[in-house]
Amino acid sequence: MRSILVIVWLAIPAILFAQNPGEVEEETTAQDEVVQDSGGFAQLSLKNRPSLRIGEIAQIDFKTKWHLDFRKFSPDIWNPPGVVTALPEEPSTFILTKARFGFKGHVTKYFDYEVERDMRKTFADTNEWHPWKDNYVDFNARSWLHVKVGKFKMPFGLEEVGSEDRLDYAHKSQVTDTLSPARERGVMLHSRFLRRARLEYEVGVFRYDGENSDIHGQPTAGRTYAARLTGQPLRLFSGLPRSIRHFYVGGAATRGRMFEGLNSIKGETVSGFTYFDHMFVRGYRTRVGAELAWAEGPFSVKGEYIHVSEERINQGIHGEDLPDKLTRGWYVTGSWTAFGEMKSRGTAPKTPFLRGHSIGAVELSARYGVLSFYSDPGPGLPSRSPRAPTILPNGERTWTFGPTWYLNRFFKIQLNAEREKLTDIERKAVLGITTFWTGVLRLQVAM
Amino acid sequence: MIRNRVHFIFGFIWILGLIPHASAQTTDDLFNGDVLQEIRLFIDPVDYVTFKQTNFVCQEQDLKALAGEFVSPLPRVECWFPVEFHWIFQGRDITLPQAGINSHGKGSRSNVKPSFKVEFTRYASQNTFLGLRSVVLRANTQDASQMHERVAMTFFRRLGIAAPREAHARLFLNDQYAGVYTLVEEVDPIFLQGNFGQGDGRLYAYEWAFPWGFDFKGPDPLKYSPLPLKPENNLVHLDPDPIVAMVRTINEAPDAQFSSAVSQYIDLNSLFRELAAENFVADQDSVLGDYALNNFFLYRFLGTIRSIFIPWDKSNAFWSLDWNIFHNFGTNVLTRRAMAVAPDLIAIYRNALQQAVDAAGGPGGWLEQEITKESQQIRQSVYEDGLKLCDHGATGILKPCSNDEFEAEVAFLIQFARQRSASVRAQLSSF
Repeated sequence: MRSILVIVWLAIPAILFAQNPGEVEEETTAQDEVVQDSGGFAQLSLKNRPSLRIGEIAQIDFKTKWHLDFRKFSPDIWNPPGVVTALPEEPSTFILTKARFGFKGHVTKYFDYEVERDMRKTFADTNEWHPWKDNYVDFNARSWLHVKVGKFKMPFGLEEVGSEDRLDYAHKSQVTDTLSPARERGVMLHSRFLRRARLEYEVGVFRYDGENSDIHGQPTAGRTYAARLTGQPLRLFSGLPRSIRHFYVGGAATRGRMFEGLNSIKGETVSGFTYFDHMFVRGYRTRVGAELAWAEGPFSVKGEYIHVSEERINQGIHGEDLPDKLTRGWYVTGSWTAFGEMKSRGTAPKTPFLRGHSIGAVELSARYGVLSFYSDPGPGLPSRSPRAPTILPNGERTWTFGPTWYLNRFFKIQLNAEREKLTDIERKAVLGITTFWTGVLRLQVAM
Repeated sequence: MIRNRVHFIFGFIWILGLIPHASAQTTDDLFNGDVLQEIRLFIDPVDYVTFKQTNFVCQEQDLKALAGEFVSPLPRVECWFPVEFHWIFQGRDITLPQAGINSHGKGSRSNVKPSFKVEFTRYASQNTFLGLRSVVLRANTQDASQMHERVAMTFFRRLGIAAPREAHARLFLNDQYAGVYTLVEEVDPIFLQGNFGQGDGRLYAYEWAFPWGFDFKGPDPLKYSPLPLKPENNLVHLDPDPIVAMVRTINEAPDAQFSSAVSQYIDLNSLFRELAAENFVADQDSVLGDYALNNFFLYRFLGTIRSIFIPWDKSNAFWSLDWNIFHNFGTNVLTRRAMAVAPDLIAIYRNALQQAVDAAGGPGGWLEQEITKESQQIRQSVYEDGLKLCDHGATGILKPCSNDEFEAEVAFLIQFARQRSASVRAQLSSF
């Protein structure tokens, strides 16, 4: 029954908003919206998404996002007999991973807002610890000062801060998923400055440390401060070649006090097998990240480096301080639009599928990431104990590759293969196996 | 120059003198019953509080997971805790810095005086202790004498049965005396290698969940494993089919071929010797105990379908002086059919009982000497143990145990040792 509901929901945007084959997609502007009911003051547009504009006072855009995944894991999700930390028996074939509805818009020129909720639980049996997603008000106080209040992504991480809908892969990198903080409730000052260099600052304070570091929906750290600075500083040097000048760089950091206990960041495979468990921590969790991106024509390259240190004050068996637990990760990804052409924003093909002989656009991508868990040397031999002075390192190296087929602005199909290889052969997630494969075929519907 | 050489030679001799001591500790030393061992565990006090909070939750969750139920990861329950393990051997402190412990036992489980499984290899497979992967520190919370377990297992080994080695120990937790414990060798691949020359077959621990006496419950392997026969090794590729075939054969083998058919699956000679030993010591909670099958490991030899039984947990041994030597033979399918159609197996059983009689001896015999030796060894430490518990009559309720109760139980054990052989001999002659 739920599957039928899912299909019906997915059909709605296709029926209502699918374009004629000959129609040319353009960015939405006030001028080209199809006005259903002008009525002078209030205007309802249905062209790209249902949108209600009330003069210059307010705008409400309806939005929805759906991800339907066909997955296959090797080895399969498997529960050793009598293991309490057994994984729920999720089907390895079909799973609804995103079913979001929301509104976005502005009220006067001073306030932007967004409300979004994931409804996966309504349509499928999948669990979602944090169904409320972006829910915030952004006050545009000055051109150099915006104040964002509510729940939104903490300013850390190139891949994490960007929309998942625009990702070249079905899943974010393991580095991002493990080390970036993701959404949290808080207050953030942000704006662009030095517009020629497209610099942007974000500084905020948040209730907890972000949803990615939660354990079963429970936060692992208290108030956390975050800051990020990004931009294209080489644009200031007009003598440089154009392809060099739009090199994007950024840096970010977070710092928050962890709750004492088994609350460190853990490592697990895409399929959910834990290969590095939580360790006892007390003190501050500090993240430092650097990001790079470059694009020229159909090619793009991005990379990120994240370092996380977690203090272990008084966490030894005898109450002694232990060396910080450290986690480090980096990835580099490249993509090439092999067929068709993408719009400049990279979210849709210039010519949609079935317009003339167009197939839309097909992008080929590959990503390599390394994630390592370890500590500074302490007394004694390295151990996997959650109170080990010297942590025996473990980590994974992940290859991800596959094509993304952009049919039009609403539909995207991704086929990805991910290969994860664990480094500590004893702390393997499944006895006798160190290499994990994940195959994903995703249909994305978004508007 | 000469002085340097003299220093070198003396230094070399001194090092040589140390080597025999440094390499002298073996598992025989650890389980040496002639010595009251001293074990010291160091655990983070917060962890120990958590240990007590989750003690019974972990047991419940383990059983649910074995029964195939999905156990919610919420609330998050920690069942393993890091400890530092110290064994004081001949005045020297032999330490293993990072071991793991969890609570041990079912009916004997207690927050007042918990039993521990100490897993040395929990956080690193090479982190063995004298070559052992783990040991059990048994609190003997159901036994006022605190000796049932060790006396019974020592007796079993004397009869040639592969049983865990045991020794008494004084346990200190974070330098606080925690009472008298029994140090028990774990039945694991190391034990199997030492006793059978191989350890890579399939080992199952019997987890009591419901009364079962080998009745055939159908061809579905899940009816037999992972509950009640919980796999202890080879967890990736489970192979429960021989268990189904074993139980089917016990139930359905033709009368004339019963012994030969079941022998394909079970070392019956070994099993009936174990049954004889268990009934000799009047074990109320064993293979033929009052709760149906319980307290054993089943090991299937590598590359075969043949298994052997290994005894475990003798807390309820020495139940009564006049324990019937064929106690519960009629309630277990295997022994019931053996009684009816396999005189060869009953002959093995009777012969094993006779051996037990001879081994235990009467007044002043081996069994009495062993009980006297152990009681003298632990008496003072038991008196100092303010946490000792007992449960007379297996009521399921553990209560504080007095020194008088200890002495009364020791007296009963000595009486048992003096009279049991005669009782069994009389029963053997009357059946």
